Amino acid sequence: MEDASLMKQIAGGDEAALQALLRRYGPLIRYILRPILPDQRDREECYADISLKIWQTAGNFDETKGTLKAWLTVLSRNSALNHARRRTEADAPLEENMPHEAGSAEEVLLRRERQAKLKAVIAALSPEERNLFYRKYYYCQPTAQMAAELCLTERAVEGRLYRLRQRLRAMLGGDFCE
Amino acid sequence: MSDDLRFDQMLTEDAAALPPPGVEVNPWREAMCLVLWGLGLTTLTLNFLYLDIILPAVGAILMVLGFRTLRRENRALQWCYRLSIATAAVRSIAYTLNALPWETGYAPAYVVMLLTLALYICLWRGMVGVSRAAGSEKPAAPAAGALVIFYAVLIPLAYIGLEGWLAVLPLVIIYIVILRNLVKLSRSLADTGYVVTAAPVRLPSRAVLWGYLGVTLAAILLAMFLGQRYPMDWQPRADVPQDAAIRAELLELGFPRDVLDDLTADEVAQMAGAANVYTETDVRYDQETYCEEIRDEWYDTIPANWEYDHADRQADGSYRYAYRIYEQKVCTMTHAAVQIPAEDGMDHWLFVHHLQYHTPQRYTESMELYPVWQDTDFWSRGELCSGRVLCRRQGQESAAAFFSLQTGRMTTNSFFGAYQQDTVTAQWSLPCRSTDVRVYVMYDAYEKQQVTFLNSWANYAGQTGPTYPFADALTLSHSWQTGNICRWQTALQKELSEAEETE
Repeated sequence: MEDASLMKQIAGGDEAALQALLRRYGPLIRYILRPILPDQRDREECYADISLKIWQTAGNFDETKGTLKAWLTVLSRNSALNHARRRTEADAPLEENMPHEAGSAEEVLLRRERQAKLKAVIAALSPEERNLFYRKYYYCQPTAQMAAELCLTERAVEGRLYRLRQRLRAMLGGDFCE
Repeated sequence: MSDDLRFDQMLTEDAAALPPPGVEVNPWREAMCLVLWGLGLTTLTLNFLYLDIILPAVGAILMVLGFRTLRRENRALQWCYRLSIATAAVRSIAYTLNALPWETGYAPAYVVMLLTLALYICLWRGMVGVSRAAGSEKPAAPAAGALVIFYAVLIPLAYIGLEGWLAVLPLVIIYIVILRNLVKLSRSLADTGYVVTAAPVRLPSRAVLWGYLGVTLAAILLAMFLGQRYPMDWQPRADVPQDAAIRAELLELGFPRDVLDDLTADEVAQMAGAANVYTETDVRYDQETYCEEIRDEWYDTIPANWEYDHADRQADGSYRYAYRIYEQKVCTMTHAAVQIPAEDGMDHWLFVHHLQYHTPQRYTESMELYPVWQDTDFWSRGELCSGRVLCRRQGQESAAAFFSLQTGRMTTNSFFGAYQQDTVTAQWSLPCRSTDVRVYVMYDAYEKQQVTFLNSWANYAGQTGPTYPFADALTLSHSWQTGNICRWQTALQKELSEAEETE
């Protein structure tokens, strides 16, 4: 069954469609949760939250804006980070379908500027560097996982991350280095 | 909080604003890409520029790298990893053995074939397992199953030696279709969100890839440069003394003393009662070492070490002729034929072809005789076929039997096509730093009717450089190949009536 029609059925209250979607994309969601939430109980709780979120917001999914895989990736990542934050009670939760924008108006403005700059910098990176960036800062993968998936030693990954960090610092400058 | 940690935290927060990653982080797709490239490169090969070796070697190690990532996914894929390592190792060993003068036959190919079949079966089961883990209601991997059936059918076809484009082309097309379906299957699993947990590695992929290729290449080069020699059983020369009476008789008939000195007592004994000895000597000179001699006159007959080079027209209209005079002997071939009269008039003959040289080749050498008994109207084959290699090494006279000495039918590829003839062949290799090398081959023949002409040829061939796959001097001498081989053909050709007058 196509992703879009599956989402329509979920939006229409078809539980079997949700089960089918979770059967199909469950491994991807778990893959994203694993590095951010090392504790299995946290992961299961977060997975349940994501299932509920899919059930509640399936009607908002617009296939013209992106693939279901991308939508689920953003949802899972932000849900996992929020779950982790709640655990540590460190900060206010992220909006799960959109970027984190907590803080004063000035902070929000500054963050938006930084984010725009970051987008440009990421676009200028080589594919290998971009891959490493996403693994480290988007999926929050630990060095061991990156090493295994990139078929490198952990030491090699650490070396590359160090060089990437240096490069990003040089390219971003300003607020990022304060 | 350290500066790096703060920086990392800021990037993690701001990464949320980035578009969903276009980069593929799921190791499944990349691992399967390596496996599928490996499958293609190990099965469809190109037989030029050593691509029949390079591509399967690269393919074998790509499969190892692919399965290395997937090995913890399920038990079948773990077996795929083990089998891919075994296949890569066997391939590497087989490629190295190809550089050595050892007859391995088809054994390595059969081992690789069976390992590959087992690997394909495990791949099929592994893909089914992956399909199940990806949430498929009816777990299946038809493309991987088709690959197993295809390979199982291919093995007997390879065994019966299926050849020709008409037969092979459909198989190639079927294989490409199967590979394409495997790619689709792999993509569909990745697109539906299937992810794998990559197994940790101790060595980076590049190190494994280049390490394997480097070690294989190093082993092949070592085998080529150090191993392309025949094993020879060298012993200090300790001959039983020759029969003095026979020896004296042969010397009196004109048998060359230096050749006679090298024969064993048994071989000399076979020449008892000799009536005539016919000999001929050819010398080969180094073509690079010569002096030029200018003469006013043209010589119809020139010495063996002379060669006409060019002529210069003089102002008075006369010519001066330039000759090259070669001075450095490379080797000397002495042919000797010994006639032993028989009561019925059909005499017994023994032929000795004796080669002497000072600078041995580092690799393999051979002497192939075209015996007189190739002419079946006049000659019948005798029983004798003997000879050996002698040299001086570390100040000591040493001797060894040939690596092989046999009579058999050889196929030669010439300008006029392939033809076969019965020959006597001897093959040997010499130890490093050996000097004063002598090699001789001896055979006998019986007259069927009164012979008037002796025609016994000796073809020396020396392998001058390493070859891959290994081809010995004899094989090279029978091919069109001109590299890594030096050839020298010489013969005993005597008109008996003239010879007898000369003798």
